[in-house]
Amino acid sequence: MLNEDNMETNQDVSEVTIYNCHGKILVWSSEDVQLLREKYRIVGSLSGCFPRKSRQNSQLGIPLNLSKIEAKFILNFVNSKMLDQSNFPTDVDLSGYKEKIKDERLKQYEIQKRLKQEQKLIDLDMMATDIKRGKQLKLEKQEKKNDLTKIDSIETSQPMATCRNPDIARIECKNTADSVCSMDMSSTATAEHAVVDFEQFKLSEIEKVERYGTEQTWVRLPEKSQFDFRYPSLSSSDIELSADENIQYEVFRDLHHQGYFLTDGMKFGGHFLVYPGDPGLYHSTYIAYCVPFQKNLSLTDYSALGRLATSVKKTLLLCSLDENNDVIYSSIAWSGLA
Amino acid sequence: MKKALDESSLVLHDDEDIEFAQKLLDQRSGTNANELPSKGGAKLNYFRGTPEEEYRLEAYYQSQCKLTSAWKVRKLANLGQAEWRPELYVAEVIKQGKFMQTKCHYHHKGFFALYPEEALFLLDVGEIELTYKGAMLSMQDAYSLLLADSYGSNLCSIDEYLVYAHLSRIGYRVQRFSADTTRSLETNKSTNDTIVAKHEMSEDECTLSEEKEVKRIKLFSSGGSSQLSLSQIDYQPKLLHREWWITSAEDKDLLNHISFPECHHTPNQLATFPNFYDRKSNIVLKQQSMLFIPRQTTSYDCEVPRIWQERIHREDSHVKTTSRDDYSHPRSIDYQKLCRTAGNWGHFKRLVNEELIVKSNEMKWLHEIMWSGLEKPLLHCTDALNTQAILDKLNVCEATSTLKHDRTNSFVHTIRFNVYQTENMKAFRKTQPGKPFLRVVVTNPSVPIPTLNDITEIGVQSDGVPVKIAFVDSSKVLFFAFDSIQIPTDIVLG
Repeated sequence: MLNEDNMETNQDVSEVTIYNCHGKILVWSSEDVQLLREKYRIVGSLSGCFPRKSRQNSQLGIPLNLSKIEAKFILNFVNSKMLDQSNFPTDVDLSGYKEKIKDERLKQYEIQKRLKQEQKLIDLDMMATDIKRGKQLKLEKQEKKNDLTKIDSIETSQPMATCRNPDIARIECKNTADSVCSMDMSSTATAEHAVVDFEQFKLSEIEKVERYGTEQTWVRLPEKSQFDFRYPSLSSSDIELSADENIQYEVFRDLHHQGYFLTDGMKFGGHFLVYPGDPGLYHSTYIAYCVPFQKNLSLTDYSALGRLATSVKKTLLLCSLDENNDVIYSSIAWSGLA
Repeated sequence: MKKALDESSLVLHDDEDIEFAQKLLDQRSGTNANELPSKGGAKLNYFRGTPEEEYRLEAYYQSQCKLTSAWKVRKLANLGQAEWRPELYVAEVIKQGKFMQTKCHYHHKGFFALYPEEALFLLDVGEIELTYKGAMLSMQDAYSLLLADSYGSNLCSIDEYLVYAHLSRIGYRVQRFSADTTRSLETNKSTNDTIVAKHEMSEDECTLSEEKEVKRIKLFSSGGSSQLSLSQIDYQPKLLHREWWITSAEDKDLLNHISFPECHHTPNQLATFPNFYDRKSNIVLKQQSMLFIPRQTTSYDCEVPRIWQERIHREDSHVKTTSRDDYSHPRSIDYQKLCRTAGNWGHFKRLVNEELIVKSNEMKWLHEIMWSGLEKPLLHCTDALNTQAILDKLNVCEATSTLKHDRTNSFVHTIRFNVYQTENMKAFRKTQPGKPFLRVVVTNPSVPIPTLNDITEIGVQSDGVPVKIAFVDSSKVLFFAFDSIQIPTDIVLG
């Protein structure tokens, strides 16, 4: 379990960088997203398109969105820094970037071409037997077809003629013995021809890799900016919380300290959903509803909140701060008297 | 035999570059890579800390790591290209792609443009490369550059983008709000050019002459009559007259022998049309110049019969003849029956008059009943002269009290997007999208919840199209709808 005392803050090297972008707090690095989840139990919510399958909403990708509460917690208790990326540094000299990218892509094209050719050769060698057999069958089929057509034409126009030249694939004869002999010679010629053909075939396949030129280069569309050095840094005090949000922050801190995972509870009408373990593996057990200690809640509110939690098999936690700023919890449960 | 590969070609490059290239090729999208990983089974209700749970958690973290660290790898040939123009707040399309079918519009500056949310979404999905001053922008840079803090007509906030992306990812066609459903928000490039390019006009003389006349004729109106004017035109007699109706060789010969009245080419020759609505004088159609009419036809002055003027002014005459006491309705009389009964024309006219009196008395009695009670009809039959008179009487065009209020913040709750059905449900035409499937208002926790008054006003603005409120909290988008409902009236029998 993570304890606040165990968290070390090293001002020189930050583990995690978060960004303020037009009022939203975002995390752009996949390593930071993983670290926040596995080590610090901060879940957030992904909002970008998933790179490999972008046309769906069930699995999203970078960036990770954090609430103000989570961001403040990270800045206070995690070795992190926050940068303000709301304004793009328009005064940066971008003139060299275009040429640099062009050179890099040309280089990548050459390397990728070579790698693809190597992979092609490996694949062809692996399937050499099948390819050769296939080619031989195709050739034999072609020969039979040609023999039949030749025999037909010989019968109609010319007397029988034989040719014992083994280099010629088609041998014309009428005698069965001759035809068998000629077929043997043609299959030998076919085997030699097949060997020669396979090497030629490999060469032609390799040449096909570069058929369409540099447009075949695969490129990476980056998520992270390369202008981090130009973004001003912000501190925890720059995240302003209202009175209600302050209560939520204290509740978040307290529950997090007890080892729970907390996520946004809007879907269930609360402020947080409280999980005993990672939300990917466990159902939530509590719906945390933060309310000022002195606030009057009507019976209708209690009834609505209680009914909602009961219907989804969760317990409603009413969370408040007392005079000493300690968090106190109450819960509502339906009880019937038969 | 030529050797397959030159072994020294890779030595020239760094190991890092080779490793990067290998990783790119491994990460490129393929049939297997497109599948989403399974979640490893049903979720657990309680945390027990068993080894099985730990094993499952480890496997889950490994799959999550692969998902979040996946690269967006695309082939250059499949990528479009757009350059961000901050002064215009649009992205100019440099290289077109498949996205042109559903996104982008023709900017009035003369190029195809993408709105910020469209450009950002296409970059997110991996269909375009977005550049700024020639340098390629990453997603993070694009978020900074293309999005804004607040709402505005041209601006796009993060919340609006999240809603746009959420809907677009699942296939809906989303456009910026426009109340005009006949065409898209920005008019596309002049369709005249497209039509000419696709269907090339023939080089026929007649069609050429038509084209020239259409292009060179200017229509303008002055006073109570309209005038047609021919501006500077090269006088070519044979091109000014249509000869397509001439079918036989004889007619063609005749054409060569007929002498036409002299038609002088004078600039700004006028063809005068009279004012048909003028009641003061008789309307006369004057003889026209030969330039405006085909050959083999002659023109002369013509006086328009009075009947046509009467028909145009029938509304006025109808008002004059109608009086409040006239309740008869000639159409309700069965003329055929009377005709069979009558012996002669005079008898028939007497029967019709009697019938009219009977009908008139009936209607008078009915009207007396209708107008005598506490609840009266809204209109008298004599008030129903035309549609405008009825509407004026009923005052349906007057605004009701629910809509009369001052709006202090006009951008807080405004319709932001028109949403159209997915391609499976209905084909989408960008230039003529038609009536949207629904409209979306974007809001977030910092903005007050829309009041009933706001919702009514949004409903009026939407003109019958359902409106959904998209509530964006951190990155999750929730849709709410406020639909009016008619409570059924229970009728108790007995």
